[in-house]
Amino acid sequence: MNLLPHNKSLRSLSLRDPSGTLFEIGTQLIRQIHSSSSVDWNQIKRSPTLKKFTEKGLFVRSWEISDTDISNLLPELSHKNKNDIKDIYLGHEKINFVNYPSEWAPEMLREAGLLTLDLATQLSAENLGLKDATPFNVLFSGGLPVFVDVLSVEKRDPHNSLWLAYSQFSKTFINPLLAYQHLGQPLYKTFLLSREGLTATDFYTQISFLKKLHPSLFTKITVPALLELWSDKKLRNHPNTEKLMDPERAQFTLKFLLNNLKKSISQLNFNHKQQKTQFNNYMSGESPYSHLQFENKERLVKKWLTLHSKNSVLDVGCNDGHFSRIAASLGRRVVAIDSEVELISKTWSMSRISHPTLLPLVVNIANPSPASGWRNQEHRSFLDRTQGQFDCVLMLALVHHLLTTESILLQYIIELAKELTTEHVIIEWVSPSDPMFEHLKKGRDYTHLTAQVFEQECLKHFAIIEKETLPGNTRTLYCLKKLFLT
Amino acid sequence: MLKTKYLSFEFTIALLMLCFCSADGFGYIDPSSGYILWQVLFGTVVGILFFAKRIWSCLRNFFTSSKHTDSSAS
Repeated sequence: MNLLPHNKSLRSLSLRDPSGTLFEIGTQLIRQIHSSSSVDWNQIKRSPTLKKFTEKGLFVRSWEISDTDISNLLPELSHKNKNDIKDIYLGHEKINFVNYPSEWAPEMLREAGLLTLDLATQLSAENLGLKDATPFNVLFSGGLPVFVDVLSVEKRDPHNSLWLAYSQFSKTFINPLLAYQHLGQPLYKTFLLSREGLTATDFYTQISFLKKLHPSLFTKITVPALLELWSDKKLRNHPNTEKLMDPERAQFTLKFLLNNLKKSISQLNFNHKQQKTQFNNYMSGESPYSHLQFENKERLVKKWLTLHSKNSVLDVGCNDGHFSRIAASLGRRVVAIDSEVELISKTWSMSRISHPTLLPLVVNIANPSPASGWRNQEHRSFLDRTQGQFDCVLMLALVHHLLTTESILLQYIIELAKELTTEHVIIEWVSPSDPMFEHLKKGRDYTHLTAQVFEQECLKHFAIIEKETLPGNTRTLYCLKKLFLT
Repeated sequence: MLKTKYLSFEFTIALLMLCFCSADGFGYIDPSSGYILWQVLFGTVVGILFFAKRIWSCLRNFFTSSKHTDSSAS
C-alpha cells in the first residue's frame, strides 16, 4: 500500500462515535478504532454478511494498516499502541464525489434506507446490529449506495428485541420521505435545517387531524408522536432500553420490525408534483429544440466530450440527464446536478442500472449546498467538493436561466465555470431573441447581451477551441479551454 | 386462553416496567422514549404472533409425528 508520510494535512471527519475516529490524511482515509472497541472489531470483521455486502460493492472496502506503516504516517497517534490492547487502523476506499442526503432525490434516500435495513436484518442473524441508522452512513458511488461507516456495526445482545437506532432511522429516513410525500417538503429543506432529520412530534404538529389518521402516517407519525408527548409529561425516567426475552423471540421480533420498516418504505410512491417548470424536458413535445437542432447539439456535445474530457464530467443544469448519460457512456465519471427534484429523480431512476458511473444530485448552482454540521466543518460545501474534481464541465441551456431567473451577471457565470473545471467547458449561448429567452426575460431588456459580449467574457478566462451555431441561429455551442495565467 | 392471559399479564408488566424502570444504554444516539414505547407495544403484538406460530408448529409436529407413528405401526 502506498502511504504518504510526507503529507501531514490531517482532518478529522467523525465527531460523534466514541469508538473511533476517521481522518483524511492527504488523499487517504484512515479510521482509528480505539482500543476499547478493537476486541469487538476483531470479531465483527469476520462477519459473512459484511463480506457479502463488500463483494457486492454495498459496504465500503477496508484494509488493516500495519503498525509500521501507521507509525510512519501518524507518529503522533501511534504512541497509543504501546498499550496492551492496541488501537486498530483501517484504510478505506474513497468514494469519488462525497454527497449528502440533502442533495439526494427521495428515491435515493429510500434506496439508502433499504440498504441500511437489509444490512441490519442480515447482521441480526449473526447477533450483530447497527448502533446508528442515519443516511450519513451511506454515500452514493455513481448510482449505487455504499454503506461507509464500518463502526456502525456492533455486537448485539441476543436477548434484547429493541433496536435503539429505530428512532434515528425514523427521523432521518421515514419521516423525511413521508414529509416529501404528504407535505411536498424537499429533502434539502429537511436536512439543511437539521442533520438529525424530522421528529415525529414536529411532523405531527404540521398535519391536519385527518392526515393524522391516514394509514401511512398513523403508525409511523401519530402513535410515536403521541407516545413521545405522553412520556415527556408522565415518565420520570427514560424507558428501559433493554427488553429482554428468549433469543428466538427477540430475533423474531426484531426481524419483524425491520421487515415492516422495509415494506413501509418500499411501498412509498412519490408522485412528484407535475410542476410546469422552465426547464422543459428535452425529449418531451415541449422541447425548445427542433429535431434538427437537437440532433446537431447531441452530435457536437458527444464529439467534444470524446475529444476533450478525460475522467470526470460535471453536468450543471442536467435536466433529465440526457447529456450526462452520453458522458457516462464514454466511460467518464459524471456528477449531474439540477435544482428540480423531479428531474434528478428521473435521471437517477433512468441511469442507476444502465449508467452506474452517473451520480445525479439536487443542487441549485445559484445557491449550492453550504458547508454544514459541527463548526461548519462536518459537511463540506458543494463548491468546495468540486475543486479540482472535474476536467470537463457541461453548461448546456443554463446561462440564460441564470441571467434571467437568478439575475446573475454574465461575468460571474463565466467566472464560476472557470472555478468548476480544471480544463474544459462545453457551454451553450442562447441569444435574447430565442423564444425561451423571450419567455424568461419578462419585459426586461437584454439586447446588449450579444454573442460577441458573451465571447469577450469567455476570452478573459478561456480560449475558444471550437464553436457552432445550431440551425435557427439563436443558440451557439462553444468548447472552451481554461487559460492558465501566470 | 392460557396464552391470552399470559400475554395480557406480560403487556401490563411491560407498561409498568416502562413507567418505573430506567437503564442507561451504551449507545451514543438518542433512542427517543416515544419510539422505545412504540417498539415495546409493537413487540408485544408480534409476541402474540410468535406464540401463535410456536403453538401452530407444536400442533403440526404433534399431528405429523402421530400420523408418522400410526403409519409406521401399521
